[in-house]
Amino acid sequence: MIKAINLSKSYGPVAALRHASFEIGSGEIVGFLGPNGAGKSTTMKILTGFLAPTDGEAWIADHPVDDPSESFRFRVGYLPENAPLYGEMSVSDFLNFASRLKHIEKKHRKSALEKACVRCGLNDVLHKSIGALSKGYRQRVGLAQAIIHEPSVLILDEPTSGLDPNQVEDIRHLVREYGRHNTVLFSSHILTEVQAVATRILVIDQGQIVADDTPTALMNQVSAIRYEIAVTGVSSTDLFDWMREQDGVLHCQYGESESDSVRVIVSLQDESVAPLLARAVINQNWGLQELVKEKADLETVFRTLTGGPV
Amino acid sequence: MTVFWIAMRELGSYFRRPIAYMVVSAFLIMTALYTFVLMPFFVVGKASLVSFFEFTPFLFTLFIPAITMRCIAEERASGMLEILQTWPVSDMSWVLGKFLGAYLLVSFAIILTFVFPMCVAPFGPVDWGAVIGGYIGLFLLGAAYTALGIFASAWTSNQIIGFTVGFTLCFTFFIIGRSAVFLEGDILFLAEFLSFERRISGISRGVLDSRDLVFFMTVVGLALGLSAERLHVRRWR
Repeated sequence: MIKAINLSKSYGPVAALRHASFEIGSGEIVGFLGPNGAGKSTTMKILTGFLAPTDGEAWIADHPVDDPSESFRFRVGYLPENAPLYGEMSVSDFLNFASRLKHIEKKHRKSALEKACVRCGLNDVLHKSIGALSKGYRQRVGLAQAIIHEPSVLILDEPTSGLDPNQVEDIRHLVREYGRHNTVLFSSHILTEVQAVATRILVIDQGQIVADDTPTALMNQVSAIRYEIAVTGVSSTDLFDWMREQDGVLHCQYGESESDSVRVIVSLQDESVAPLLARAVINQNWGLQELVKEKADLETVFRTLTGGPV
Repeated sequence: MTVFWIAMRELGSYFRRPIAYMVVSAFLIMTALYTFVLMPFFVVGKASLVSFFEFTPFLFTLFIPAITMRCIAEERASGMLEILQTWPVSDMSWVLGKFLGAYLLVSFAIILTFVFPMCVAPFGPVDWGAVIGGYIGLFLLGAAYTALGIFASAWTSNQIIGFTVGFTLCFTFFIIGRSAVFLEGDILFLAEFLSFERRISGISRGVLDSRDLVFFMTVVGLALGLSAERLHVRRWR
């Protein structure tokens, strides 16, 4: 449904996107995750045809996005970040305008509008002017215009930013529902959100795709190499210093030591280091109380992949 | 049809906000003041609207850019353009719709001044040929100014810049024919060829030349075509 090959985009000397390639199939809900300025919005703008890439190609529903006939536009719905809308128009006038310009046939226009309003929960505010609505409602109007023509690809840039928890849940619900039969790509820098909705995660950092997997697989990938170790018969500083000298230990930090044992958390080069480390601890004549694979949350995954402090 | 819906929305948005009321009433007050107070026809002693048709083209250079300055600039500044440009609507349709919406408002203002000749008529014989010619001239000039204003607005996200550039373009094209003092030869010929004022004065004398018609339509077409191109090119930045 969405295909990007080698997409690059530079704004003058600044490269916002470098050789990003990915493919998203029909019926997937993909979370696009990355720190601010990583290139999420740029990628989305290219996929919706608003920006042209400096290099590379993109397809939406088998239509190239640089196709002059722009036929792919009928297949894609887009909500940019901080969706601005015509504040002076009423919700129904605006959605009517959108349905006409999106070439929905006259006989289907009314039902398309009603359906979008029900999906986005807009029936209470249909005749209010958009400028008078709260941010949550405005965001829903933005979503309604994006889905009113039932596009097979929905692209949402930070759809929940600035919303309260209830509104966030509403939007998530909508994305899940819509994603049952269509492809959704949404961006966020909030990890729990991506975890809650996405069936797949693309992590982007400094303009490059650094990971592409399901939320569970991504967490396993990182937790596989983080262990918490509890040892008796040694001081925590000695253990810490000793750990840092062991082969295969990339990183070591103090854990929450208890009265009878000291704890450290280590990041290992790969999983095979763990049993070697256990043997080494025993060879030191210390008591090995625990060696537990740490359960990482996406927060850790994110920071590991994007090079932040773990 | 798409162009029509865009134009209707555009026109609606002028009336949903104070802009239309403000600008149109200011225009009517100023033309009325000029025609009936500053250059009163009864002083001239003839039931003529010459002063109105001389003054309005100048007033238009301010009035029309004030209407068009927001057309594209506002949407670019707010980011609305980003939503609109991902809809299945061509750049040219957007520009044409915006032009039509603004031009309908300009035409509405011109139509409201139809009361002026009605006011003058009881005081003596009116040269209706000149009045009709004058109005045709105003409608043509209005179209050219509106297109130039949209062109200026397409270039920027700042409405003030949109207004200033629009005003400068309209004013320059209007008075360029008066530069005979500084120019000569081919350049003078070009200046006179481009002069809106010269073409309008011909029409208001009752000489409706098809070349003038083609000229104004070309100006509108070029300005709108370049505006659409500008919208398109921005994507490739």
